[in-house]
Amino acid sequence: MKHFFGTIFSFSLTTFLAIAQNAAPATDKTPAPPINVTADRFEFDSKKGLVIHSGNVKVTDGEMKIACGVLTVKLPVEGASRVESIIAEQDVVLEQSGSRATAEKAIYSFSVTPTATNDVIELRGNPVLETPEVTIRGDVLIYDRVLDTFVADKNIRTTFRPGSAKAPSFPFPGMSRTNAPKK
Amino acid sequence: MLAQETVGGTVTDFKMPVHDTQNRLRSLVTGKSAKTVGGLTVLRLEGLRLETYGTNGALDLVAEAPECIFDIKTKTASSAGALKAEMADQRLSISGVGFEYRQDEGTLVVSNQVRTMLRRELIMPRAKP
Repeated sequence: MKHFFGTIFSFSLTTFLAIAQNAAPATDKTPAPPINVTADRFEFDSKKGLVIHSGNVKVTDGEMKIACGVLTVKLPVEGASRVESIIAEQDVVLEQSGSRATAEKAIYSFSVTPTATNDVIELRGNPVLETPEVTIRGDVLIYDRVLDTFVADKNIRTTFRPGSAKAPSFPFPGMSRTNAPKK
Repeated sequence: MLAQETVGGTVTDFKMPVHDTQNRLRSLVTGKSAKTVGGLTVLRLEGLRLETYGTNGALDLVAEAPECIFDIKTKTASSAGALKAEMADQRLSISGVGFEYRQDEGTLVVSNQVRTMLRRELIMPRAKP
């Protein structure tokens, strides 16, 4: 069964993909566990500020696991405190709490403007989000870590599994739908 | 190349700094001892330590290995052995086996069994108490 919701379809990730607990800012009282990466190969370019892992890359971030072929980290420029970007490429798989997202590329980026803080993971290249209840495809899937929402954009295809133990009614809990025209 | 002492073909306290065009120190390769193994330009270093520096002079990355081969002409350190490296602020650390460091280019490649630890503060800000 398929539904087409127009151009933008968003829902609370807390319902399906609890990445939020990892995305929440760490507190000073409870030091967060580190993010561990294993790979076949590591390259560091001190002049470009690049760290590149390649070959069977596996990232463990709390309960979230990411597998990919190449992971590129753009280190902070001098004076900055956070990485500029993290890009996972080649058969990217994100897994957590029984949910799984796949894509050819996942881009994490962070920026602050006078009007907004952008802190997002963008999945591109045939991205698919699968949960026990639903499968969502779109040209782009974007996880907004600030708003804690997952947005599917363009050519959205959603498949519900009525027979699943937690088959959602429509609209199912936690989901919001945006019909606003694209800007 | 700087050396504090020479004993029978072995140099102790080997140092190879690289500066940029503005004479800022950008990297430093040191070894507790260095012994020629191929002509006069290829050395076997023991107690290797690599340091890279930012343009502001701050220490950026430190890497250490028990030993390596260092080519003075190409300023390249390489080994099939283990290496550990850490950013100066300790937010990223790495270990692996088999490496090559090109001092002029500022690139370090670790080719096997790579394990990296990223502290979360490198990725996201800490919440205000």
